[in-house]
Amino acid sequence: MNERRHDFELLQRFTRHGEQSAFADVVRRHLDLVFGTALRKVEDPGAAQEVAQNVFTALARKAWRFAPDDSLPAWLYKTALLESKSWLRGELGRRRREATAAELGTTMKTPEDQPAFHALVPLLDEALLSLREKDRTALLLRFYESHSLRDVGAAFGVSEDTAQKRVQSALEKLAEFFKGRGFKTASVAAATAALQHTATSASAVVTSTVVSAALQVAPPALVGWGAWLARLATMSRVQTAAVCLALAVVPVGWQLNERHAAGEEAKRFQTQLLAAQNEGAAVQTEIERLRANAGRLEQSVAQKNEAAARAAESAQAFDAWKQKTRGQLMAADYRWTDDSPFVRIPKAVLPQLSELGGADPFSPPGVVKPYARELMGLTPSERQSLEATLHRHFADVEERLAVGIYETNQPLSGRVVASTKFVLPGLGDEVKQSTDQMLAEVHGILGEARWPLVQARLGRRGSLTLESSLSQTKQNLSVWVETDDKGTPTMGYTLGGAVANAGGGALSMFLPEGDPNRTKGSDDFLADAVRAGFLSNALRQRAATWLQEQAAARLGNGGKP
Amino acid sequence: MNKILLAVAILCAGAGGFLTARQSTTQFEHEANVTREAWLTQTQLVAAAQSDQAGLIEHVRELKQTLKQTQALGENAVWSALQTNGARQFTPELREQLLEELGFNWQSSEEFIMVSKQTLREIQMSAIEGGKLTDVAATVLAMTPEERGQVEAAVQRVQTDFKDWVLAHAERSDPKDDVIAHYSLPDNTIMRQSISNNFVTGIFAALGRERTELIMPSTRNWMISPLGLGLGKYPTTLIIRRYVSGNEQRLNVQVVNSIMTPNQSGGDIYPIDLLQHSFPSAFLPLFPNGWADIAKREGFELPKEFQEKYPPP
Repeated sequence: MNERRHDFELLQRFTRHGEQSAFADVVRRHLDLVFGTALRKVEDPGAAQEVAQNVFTALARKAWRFAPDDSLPAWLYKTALLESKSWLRGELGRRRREATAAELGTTMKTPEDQPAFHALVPLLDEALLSLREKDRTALLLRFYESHSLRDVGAAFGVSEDTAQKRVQSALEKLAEFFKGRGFKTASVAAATAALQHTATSASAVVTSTVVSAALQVAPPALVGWGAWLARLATMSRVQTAAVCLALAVVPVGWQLNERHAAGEEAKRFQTQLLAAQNEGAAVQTEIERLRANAGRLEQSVAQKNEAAARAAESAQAFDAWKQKTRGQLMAADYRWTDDSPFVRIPKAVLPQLSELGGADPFSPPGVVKPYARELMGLTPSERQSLEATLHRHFADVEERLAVGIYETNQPLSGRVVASTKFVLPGLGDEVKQSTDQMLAEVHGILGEARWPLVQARLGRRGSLTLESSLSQTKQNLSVWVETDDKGTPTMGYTLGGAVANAGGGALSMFLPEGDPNRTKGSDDFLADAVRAGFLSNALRQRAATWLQEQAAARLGNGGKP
Repeated sequence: MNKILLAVAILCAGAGGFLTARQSTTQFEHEANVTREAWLTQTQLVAAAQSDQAGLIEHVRELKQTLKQTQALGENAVWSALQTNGARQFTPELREQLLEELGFNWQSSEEFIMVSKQTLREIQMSAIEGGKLTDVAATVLAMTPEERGQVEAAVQRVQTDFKDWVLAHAERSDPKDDVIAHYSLPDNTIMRQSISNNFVTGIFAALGRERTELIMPSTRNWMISPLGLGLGKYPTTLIIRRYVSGNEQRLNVQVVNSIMTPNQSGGDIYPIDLLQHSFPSAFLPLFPNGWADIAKREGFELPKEFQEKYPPP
């Protein structure tokens, strides 16, 4: 096994497990080196033992700091020198030094009196310290710990030959050192002799004493941080860096993982919060909609309730009003009241009232006028029958009249550019039979009591009687076109018959539907006369057709005359 | 020693990294806690809102149910219209509905028929005939004897007032050349307004506003014609002339207003044969029997056709 490795394992056992035997082994393995070095420096066995004790005590305290690659002999040698110097600094040391110096001065003065290596001994440690550590260690192992060249090579991990060469080289460097200090005769052999001469073996007693003393002050086995540090101290830099990195990375990694987890949780809560907010917003929107809807519905219910209350109230008021109005109208001492919309009329005066009135009860094309409906007290079915009878009659009369209408020429005068006259000859006896039949039907519908109301109108004085209206007596309608001061065509008409009428207007009102220049008014052309019953609708229609032709001819093509 | 420094450096760096990561973790944890608290609060709010929503849904459902169950009772249209407009603006259909509601038709009474006042307006009943209030008008308007007496007195008074004014203001010119009669009445605007106002006031005092409005159109017509109050505003002249038609001597009449132009009515633009001309009513107070009285007064003979057409009573 490698010497260094062996030392390291012994120290490990001592520091980790408190194995004192392992430390004792270390002491035994290197006591000669330490004791010899100390003795050489302090030149007193007792003092050397004390120095050795101090050195190994220091080793016991600092054992945990050693790494496998550290050279324990080298460290022990240096420490021994330091401890020796320390000791020498004391009083006794001083005296010794003085005495030694005197002795050395004498020796140097007479080098021939003593073997040559003796002169080199005082400078031996200085010379060893001047060497590189490997060279120094090789010499220490070879000469002070009495290792074979093979062991020395093993300590360095090299072959025996290489160890031999290294030892030889170190000895040469020592010789060179001595020469440099004035020892001209110093050689490798002298250096070797000096080393061999100064090698000392400590006695078993010394060994036991040193081991005991060192163990007494040695710390107990290292545990916890101490052990950890001890382990750390025993590791290489790469190992140390790896362990520390591992130690540093693990908590950082753990913390980063925690951070990631916290971040994820924060995100999750954020997502949930957003979802809840969205849901809340949606619910709020729905609530607003529902509130608005409820508001409208409440309003509707309130309105409906109010309407129902009003309806009930108005129904009650209406009933009261009807009762009051009935009472007023049916009272024996009936009086006119301004607040009633109705009046009571004795049936006996109705014929006279009808005769004195200014309007006929019926009109084309078969209408019973509202006043007549009230005066006659018609039921809906009576009114329907009556109007159906009138419709049939007027339709029949119009049909016959349309056949008989003829057109005659009119002389042109003044600004008149076109003129014609439509004549309705009247149906005479032809229609009288139809009218009588219709009146008989009316008589049947109304009955004897109400017939006088119609009869009164038939015999009414004046130019237009109900009879003439019903029979459509002779009528004529002249129409013409003339130009005004600006040259614009206008129309005019005169109606002759039971009632005379005349008028005129713009010819453009007779332009076809959709013509941009068409003006309003053609629908009203003699419409009142037709409704009043003194103009046949067929006659009006013929005249309107003639006017439409004139308008198309004179105002057509975009309205350009 | 170098190893220790290396270890310390790495461990310090690790510690720094750890502390930084720890601080960041704490910050994230804090954010997560805050967000969690906000989420919990929001969740509670949502739950409360959902509870409100459920309540509202139920409320709306109940309201719809209530609305569905509540009968749609509308105000009676006839009554509503009656309240708003009175019976004046009633359409014929509404009037008939109202009469139906009241239960009035031809059969509901042997003696009477109930009609709306609007119908009376539409009939345009003539209230005065022959200078007297008609029985029909008095009956229809349900005049009491006192009311009728007041109205008749008013009618009589307006005729008397007008006659007195005509008698007082008519002017006669002597016949000259072909003119055999020439009478003039001055502008009667003030008199007409005065008489008309007195008449309306009298009627109004007797019958009130509504019945006065009902008979006023026909009485206004009566005052214009045949009473003759219409020829006012300008002096009115009656001229009768002789003229020859073929070998026959004939009479023509022209009633003119002083500013008469061809575009104005109210008089004759050209003379009209007497046989075709009705006697101007404005001069009736002077000559109650018309053409016969004026011929007697001025000493000319009416044409034979006239005497045949209107023989003396």
